[in-house]
Order: sequence, then structure tokens, then C-alpha cells
Amino acid sequence: MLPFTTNGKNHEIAKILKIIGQLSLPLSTRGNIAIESLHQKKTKLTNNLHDLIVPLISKDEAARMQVILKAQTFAVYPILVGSHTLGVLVIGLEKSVADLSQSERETLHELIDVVGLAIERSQIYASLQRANKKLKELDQMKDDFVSVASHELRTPMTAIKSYLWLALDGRGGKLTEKQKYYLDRAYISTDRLIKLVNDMLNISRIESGRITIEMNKIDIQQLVQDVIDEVKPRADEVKVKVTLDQPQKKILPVLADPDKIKEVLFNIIGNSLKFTPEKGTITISFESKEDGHVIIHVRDTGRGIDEKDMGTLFTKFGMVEGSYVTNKKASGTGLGLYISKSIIELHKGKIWAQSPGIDQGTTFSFTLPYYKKGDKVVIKPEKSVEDRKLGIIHSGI
Amino acid sequence: MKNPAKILVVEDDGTLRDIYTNLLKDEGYQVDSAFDGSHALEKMRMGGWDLVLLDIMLPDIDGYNIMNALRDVPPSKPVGPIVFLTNLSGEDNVEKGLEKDGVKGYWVKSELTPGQIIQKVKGLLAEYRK
Repeated sequence: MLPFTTNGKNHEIAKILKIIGQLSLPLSTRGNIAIESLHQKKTKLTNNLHDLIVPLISKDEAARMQVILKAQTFAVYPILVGSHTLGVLVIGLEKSVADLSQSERETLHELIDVVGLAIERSQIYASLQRANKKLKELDQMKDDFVSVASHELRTPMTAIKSYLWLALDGRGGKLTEKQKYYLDRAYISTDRLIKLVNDMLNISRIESGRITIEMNKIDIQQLVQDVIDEVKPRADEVKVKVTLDQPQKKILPVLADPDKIKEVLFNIIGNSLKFTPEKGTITISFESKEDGHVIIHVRDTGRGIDEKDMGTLFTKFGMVEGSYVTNKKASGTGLGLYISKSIIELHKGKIWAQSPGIDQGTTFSFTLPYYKKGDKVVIKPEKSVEDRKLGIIHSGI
Repeated sequence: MKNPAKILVVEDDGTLRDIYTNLLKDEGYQVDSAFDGSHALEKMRMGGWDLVLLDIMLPDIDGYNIMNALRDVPPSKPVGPIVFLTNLSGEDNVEKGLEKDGVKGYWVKSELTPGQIIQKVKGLLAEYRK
């Protein structure tokens, strides 16, 4: 509210304001009304500029400045946000405070409130930015730790797994039934431990957004068939039949990352295999939806899921009671469905489970979007990760 | 075994080095090993290997950089297929590994039983050895 008139003294006024703006006083200074206002949280008035800048500027110099500023009165307002004082706002007035009209007073108060809020916001923003930066650093540290730790853990686990395998293979001599049984259990647990480490590394990657989904135009029917072929030996072992319910019409291609969708199918089918008794079946079927997506159902004739366990199914370590038994059938990590859910959600799809009740089987279902013309895809040779000889990755179709 | 294949195992972990070298020796192969990057590079540069199983996380030079060094100064005698045998997983690492000239596979140790390793070794040797 300083009068920036065009009388040719603007330059001098600006110079004085700059000088005042650069002054710095300790908060313990006595006899300065700006500091007093700050401490007492009270509005202060003065007719002398000197009261505001004491003891840094002499009385004579302050008087000279005040003449150039053409200010009669200075009002010092504490800027309060809640009970917290952020600073003071000094307003120089051409007339004395008593001469201010009601509307001028109101405008002044509103201005002070707005200034207070603006300063508070900027401070909150700055502290949020600091907190955000810190969180990102911590997240990176966690990722690095998980990555290194999982590598370090795998080395001794590989040694244990290898020696157990060699012993079970009879390379250390013939084993008694009991020895075989003990070693077999140790081997299964080691494998489970390795899987747990892998899953945790996967989750760390998914949660930090470092997982890369490479979208492709996929023949989902073929992909499901490939997965069925791959799980067949395991299914035969536990005497469960895995079949594909052939759709009447060819299923249109979907937009998905084939390796990731295979992982989801392995998880779901693997789960069904654990809970389906001998002579049971697992059936995979497709349900085409008008609004641009297909639902893939995996139905088993297993023991079903109790209503009360449905909620924890897709959560981290959300294992259904009694599902961790150290035998070849059930040795889950409790992370598979959580990872599957994360993967499907990265595809903008949904995943859910339904069960009519105990001993009435379970159906796991997930959706995938159909491929649309113009969808961006990554072209990659279709080989398993292990032996994939790298091709050049092209973008576009 | 007549004229057994010569295999180099590069592995810094003593236990795993024992497992792999003994496993391959039992199969009748002629096996040598290296426990760090510089020894591995020296032995690989001498050439004459039918197969190299190369770890990635090594105390001095990592497996990727061994391959880079080998590309810059090629071995005096030809080296057969090189396979990364590592516990470093993750798609980015696999891609990076398979990009290297001469690398024919990326095997994750913890995922493989000794039996599977033997099978894979036999397969690769059959494919590349004249």
C-alpha cells in the first residue's frame, strides 16, 4: 500500500525499500516494534519508521527515508496461521490509522490473511518436497538392499539345494527310506525358500514401479495352451487333469505382456493343483465381453475357499489357513496371488475368485483388454527368458 | 571319454565352484576354474575352451565387463559358447547379459539342479562342438 506515484521518486522509493528489505535483526532485539509484534502476536502502530528499523539505521537517516516514502503511519501486522506466527507485514500509510475507512481496514485484514495463507502453503510445499525426496531415497535404498540381499541369499541356498539333490540322486551312496524322506523335505523347503526370495524381489520391483510391462499383441488361446502343456507333467504327477474349454469362436488377440501373463497363469494353475485332489480337473475357459475385454476363468474341482478367507486371498502373505504344508502339493509362499493381482492391474485388468463353498471348487478369473488397432506394442522374439537370444527391440507395430 | 570337452568354470563362491567343477569332472569333462574376474579373463584370453560358465557378480571385474574386455582384446585361440551362470536375476540383467557377443545363455543357478545343469551343458556342447 505504499504510494508508488509517478512523481519521479519511484526510483528512490525502490532503493529505500530494498535497503530495508535487506536488514536483518536477531529475534532477541529489544525496542523494535516489528520484533515485538512478532513475539506478542499483536498489531502495532507507529508514526516513526525508526521504530521499525532500530537499531540498524540512525534516527536521522530513518526520518529522511520516511519523507521520501511519504508515509505518515506504519502498521505492523503479525502474520498468524493458527497459533503460529510466520512473520510480520509492515504497511506504510499516507494517512494515520484513525483516518482509515471501514472498508480500507477490512481490505487490509483480508490482505494479511491471504499473505499468511500463501506463506504457509509455500512452506508446506517445500517441506512436502523434502519429505518426498527423502522417501524416494529410502525407497531406492530398500530396492538396492532387497536386490543385493536376494542375490547373496541365493548363493548359499543354491549350494544347499545342489548338495541335497546330489544326495537324493544317490551320488553319496544308497539312502534308506527315512534318509530319503528327510532329504526330500529339506529339498522342498529349500526350493520354497528360493521361491520366497524371488517373489520378494519381484514385489519390490512391482511396488517401486521398476517392473517393465512389454505390451504385445497376443494370441491368448495359444498362450493358455502353451501354459497347459508346460504344467502337464506336474499335473500328471498329482493325477489332476488340466484342460482348455475350446471356445466356439476364435478368441481375438489381447494386449498383454506374454511372460507376465504366463506367470499369472502358472500362479493360479499352480494354486489349483495344490488344492485339487486326485482325479480332479482344472478347466480354463474364455468369456468374451462386448466392452473390449476377455475374461479368462480357471475353474477347479478342489476343496474351495471359505467365504471368510476370500478377503485375504490377494494380499501379501495372505495364505489360507493350513495351506502351507511341506509336501509337494502345497508349498506356496503366500505371495503368488498378490503378484498376480499386481500384474493384472498393470494391464488395467481385474482379478477375482469365487467359490460356492468348502469342497465345491474355486474359480479364479481375470480380465485382459483386446488388442486395438493403434495400440503400442514391443516386438520381441518369443523365447523363454532363460535362453532368449536377444533381438533388437522395435517400438511401434 | 575320448577327447573330452574343455570347460572353464568361473565362480567366486568356493562351495559352488566345488559343486560345479566336480559335477562336470564326474561327467568326464576336462574342467578348469577361476575364482575372480582377472584370472577368468586371463584364462579366457588363452582360448581353447569348448564352453565357459561365467558368473556375473565377481569381486574384481564383473561378468559383463569380462565380456567387454574380451570384445576389445579377443582371445588368441577361439572360445566356444559362453554362458552366464549367475544368481543375478531380473529381466534387465538377463537382457544386458544376452546382448554380449559370444554369450549363448543366461542360467540362474538357484533355479537349476545339478542334473539340469548337466543336461544344458550337454545340449550346448552338442550344438556348438564340431
